[in-house]
Formats: sequence, C-alpha cells, structure tokens
Amino acid sequence: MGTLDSGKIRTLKKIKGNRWCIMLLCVCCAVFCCAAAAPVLAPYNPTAVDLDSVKQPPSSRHLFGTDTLGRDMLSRVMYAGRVSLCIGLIATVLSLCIGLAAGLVAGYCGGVVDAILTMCIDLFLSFPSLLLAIAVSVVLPPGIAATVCALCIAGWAPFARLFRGMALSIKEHTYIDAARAVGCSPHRIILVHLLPQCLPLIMVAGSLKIGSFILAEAALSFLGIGVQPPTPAWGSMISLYRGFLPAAPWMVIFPGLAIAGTVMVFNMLGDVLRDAVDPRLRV
Amino acid sequence: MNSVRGTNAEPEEFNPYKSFISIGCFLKSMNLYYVQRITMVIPTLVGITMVTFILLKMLPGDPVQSLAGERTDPAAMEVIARELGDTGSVIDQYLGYVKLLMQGELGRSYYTNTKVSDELLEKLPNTLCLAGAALLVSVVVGLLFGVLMAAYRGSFIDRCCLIVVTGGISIPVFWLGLLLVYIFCFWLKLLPPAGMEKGNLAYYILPASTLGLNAAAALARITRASMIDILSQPYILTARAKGISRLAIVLHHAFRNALLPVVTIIGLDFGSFLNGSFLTETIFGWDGMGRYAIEAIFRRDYPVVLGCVLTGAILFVGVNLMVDLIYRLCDPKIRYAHTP
Repeated sequence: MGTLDSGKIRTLKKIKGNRWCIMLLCVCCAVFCCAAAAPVLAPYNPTAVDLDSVKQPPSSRHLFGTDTLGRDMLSRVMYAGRVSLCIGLIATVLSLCIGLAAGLVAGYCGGVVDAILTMCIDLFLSFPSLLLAIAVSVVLPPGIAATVCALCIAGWAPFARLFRGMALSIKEHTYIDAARAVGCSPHRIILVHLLPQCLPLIMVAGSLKIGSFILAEAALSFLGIGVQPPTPAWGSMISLYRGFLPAAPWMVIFPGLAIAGTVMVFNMLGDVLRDAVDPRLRV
Repeated sequence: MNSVRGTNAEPEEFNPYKSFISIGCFLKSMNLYYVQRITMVIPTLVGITMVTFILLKMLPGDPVQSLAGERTDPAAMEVIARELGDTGSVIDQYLGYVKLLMQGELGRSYYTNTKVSDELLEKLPNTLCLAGAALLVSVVVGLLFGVLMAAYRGSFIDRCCLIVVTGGISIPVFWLGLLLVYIFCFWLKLLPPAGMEKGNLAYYILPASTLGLNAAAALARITRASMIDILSQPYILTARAKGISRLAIVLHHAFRNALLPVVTIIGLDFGSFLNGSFLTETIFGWDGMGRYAIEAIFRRDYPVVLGCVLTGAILFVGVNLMVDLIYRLCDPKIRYAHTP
C-alpha cells in the first residue's frame, strides 16, 4: 500500500502544481454550478412566453436574444445545460462502472472469462458508436433514461478495453502474487489492489468521455431520438430553431456555443490531467 | 549464392541463407496473420447479426398482431406467424434471420414496400462518395495542421493551432454544418445550402467539410504527436548534423515515418464518417444512407433502420479489416517483429 499512496500523492501534487489544471477544474465546476443553479441564476423563466419581444437579437435585456415565442435564450440555454450535463455525467459514471467491471475481471481472471469478455468488447467496438446509440434509442421508448442507456451501451467498450490492458499489466507485479499467496480472494484483489491503481486513468478517461457523451447526446437530441421536446436540451434546441437560421442565427449559435464550450473544457481538462498523471498516455 | 543475394535479399543482409529462410518464415507468418485476421472477422459478424436480431425482437409492437388486427382467431394468427417466420424457438428464428441475410434479404420497408437492400444499394454510393470527399478534406487539413504544429513545437503557432484543433474536436458536427450553411450560403451567397447533383462539386464542398473537419482535428493531434516522437529520434539529429535543412528533414525524413500511425486512424475516421453521415445528410438533404435511416426512424419503418445499422456495422468492420491488412503491408517494423 505504501507505493500506492505515494503514487497517489505524487499525482495530486502534480495536479496541484499545474496552474492550467486548477484553472480548468474551476471552469468545469463553474459550468456545473451554472447548470445546477439555473433557477437562481437565470434572468427569466425559460418557459415564459413574451409575444412583445419575439426573435429579438442579443441585447442588454436579453444577452442571448429571444426565440420565436419571446422566451429568453440565455435562460433556456442554462436550463437545457442541466439536462445535457446530467445525461453526460450519469452516462459516464455508468459506462465507467460497466467498463471497469468487465475490463478488470477480464484482465485479472484471464482464460475463458477473458476470451468471452474480450469477444463482447470487440463486438461493441465494431459498431460505429452513434450508429449503435441510434439503433438502441429507436428500440427503447424515447426519453432521458433511454438516452443514457443508449450512450452507455455504445460507450462502455473502450473503457473495458483500457482497463483490461491496465489489469493485465498490474497483474504481473509481485505484490499481486503476494496478495494471492496470503489468500486474498480474487474479488478482494480486484477491488483493493487493482482498482485504486486505475484511479488516475479513470479520471483522465472519464473527463475525456463526458465531452464525447455530451456531443453524442446533442446529436441524438438533434435527430429527435434523444431528449424529447418539452424537456430542453442543447441538441433539440438547435434542431427546433434550425428553420430560422437565416433570419435569427443567434437562436442556433448560442446553444451550439454552449455545447462546444463545455465539451472543449472537458477535453482540455482530460488532456491536462493525462499529462499530469502519465505523459506516456499522450495520444 | 550471388543470384540469391541479387534477387531476394536486401543489400545489407550478410548471410544469404539466413535472409532466404527469414523471407520464407516471413511469408508463412504473413499468410498466417492474414488468415487469422480474416477469420477473426467471422465471430464479429455473427455478433453483429445477433445484436441486430435482439434489437429486432425488442421492437415495440407485435408484427403478427398488427397484421392480423385486434380480434382474429388464433388459427389465422398462427398462419400469419408461420408466414413471417415468427414460430419456433428463438434460435430457429435467429437462424432463419441469418439465412435471409446471407441471401442479401433485409426485408421490405413498411412504408414504401420496396426492398430495403435495393434502396440501400441505390443510396450507399452517395454516402460513400461523401465519405471519400470528407476523407480527402480530413487528410489534407489534418496532416497540414499536424506537421505545422510539430515543426513549430512549443511556439505561438503551435499553441494557436492546438486551441483551434481542440475546438475542432469539441464542435458538434451538426452545428458546424449549420454555421457553414449560414456563412457560405446566406451571408456570402457562394454555395448551395442543400441538395446534391451528380458531378457538381459545389454541392460536395459544404457537406464534405462538415463531415471532414472533426476528423481533421483528431488527425492533426495524432500527426503532431507522431511527428514529435519521430523528430526526437537520433537519426533526425544525425541528419541535422549533416547539415540538411529543417524543411527537408521535416518533409523527407520525418513525415513519411510519422504517417504510419496515421493510417490506422483512417479506419476509425470511417466510423466517425458513418456516425456523422446521419447528421450531415439530414442537414444538407444528401440522398444517402444516413438520411434514409433517419427518415425511416420517424416513420417507425424498422426494417429500414435495422438494415442501415447492419450495413453500417458491416462496412465499418470491413474497412477496419482492410486498414489492418494495409497497415501491415506498409510497415516493415511490424512485418519483421513477427518473424520467428
């Protein structure tokens, strides 16, 4: 455990010493806070119709302009962010859990278990991800739960492959042999000895994945098979206002900027974390 | 012995017998590898058909009931079920499904009653054309940015490009498409906003850029990393010491070696093009597989949707197989690493 703790502390120190990393973490927190505190922060009610100020361009009264029914775009983008971020976060946590379980078990157990699990992983990797997500969300009744489910089914396999590789390499260390020699059960070895070693990788892979899940969710909602219209989401907002692009581009530009900005922050955080945790992992 | 040396062996190979043996082994291992890699596709294909079969079974609604109506006697339902192949165990049904697939039968559209396979054969070339054009955009833009960033590593140009590239990865495809439409069609009035016309390149520019730029950003990152890796090798230092110019080193010594990891990315790119084609084709009214599938989703035309999913997955597997094989042909390091 000694080496493990010092490893963790080293990682934390590296993250603390990196000004970029701290800044990006703060921005991430700010994005989450903005979404979580939308009812407090939003200047207007996102569903309040104001027919006197329809399709107003951005101004000091309405920073992001108003939509076809006079609803404030800033408030709508903030409320939509809650849904989109929530889906991204839940899908990431769930697919990380599935990927960790499958990957670590496959890597540690080896043999038939590994062969079967690897086959499953390869199978899910052989579908283009959005294609699979589309197929799943067609079958399930549409909604937030179905979207999360579709994203998880399409997104767990890369995690599993990553952690299988990790388990394969950690397994060779002598302290795992020692643990086995003193009679640790396989599930104890996986939970206590393998899992903590994967933590840095989990952080990196997770923060990179949130971004791609938010993008995928936006794509599904844009196509009309993700989050359904009464619930606001960035993707479905863009699809809703698409027809007004020539006359009122701000209605399309701001939700898109919100997606791109959020995803970019998560991607940059992932990159910085990766450099801090292990420069060898750099793509 | 000389003839052996002259024809088969490489010039620096000292022992001709050794080279001869190693070439024999190499050929053997190559063939084995190819056979292995190609047979590995079979379980994947079986798995893909299983997944689509499960999805088919999970679809809402009972096809027999919807064909027969609400109050039909069980005997008539039985007849219809048998006609649809909906009797027997799940395994029998799956085998029947695979048998139909082997004959190239993907079912008929509920909506137009045309064969899905015929429609797909008509639409697929359009999607592939678009993907090809997008590949061109992504390779040209991605390699250019990647090499530029690696050559000026750590400088102002590198940092600016890195931000642009990270942005490029984070931008949603459909939003980029709409922005391009706004800028080039409504604002500058240069290009047609949607539609397609055989042979008219103007219709290709926007969809191909939309589809290709995401992939270009990813490619640029990989090229940069790969170039930086190569540029720190000792042989580059040697070349510098010999007095070769930086430009010549970057383009002639480093670029060709840095290209190898990039080849595999093209296979993955194809997946992202398939993903993106659903969005791009919807925005630009491109008459391809993606738009066909999305329109079918809204009509609840399930045979079409699943046909498109199956075709997309099989295409993806096929392209990845080809890329793997080509990669192996291209890279002598891999070729010789596996020689026993």
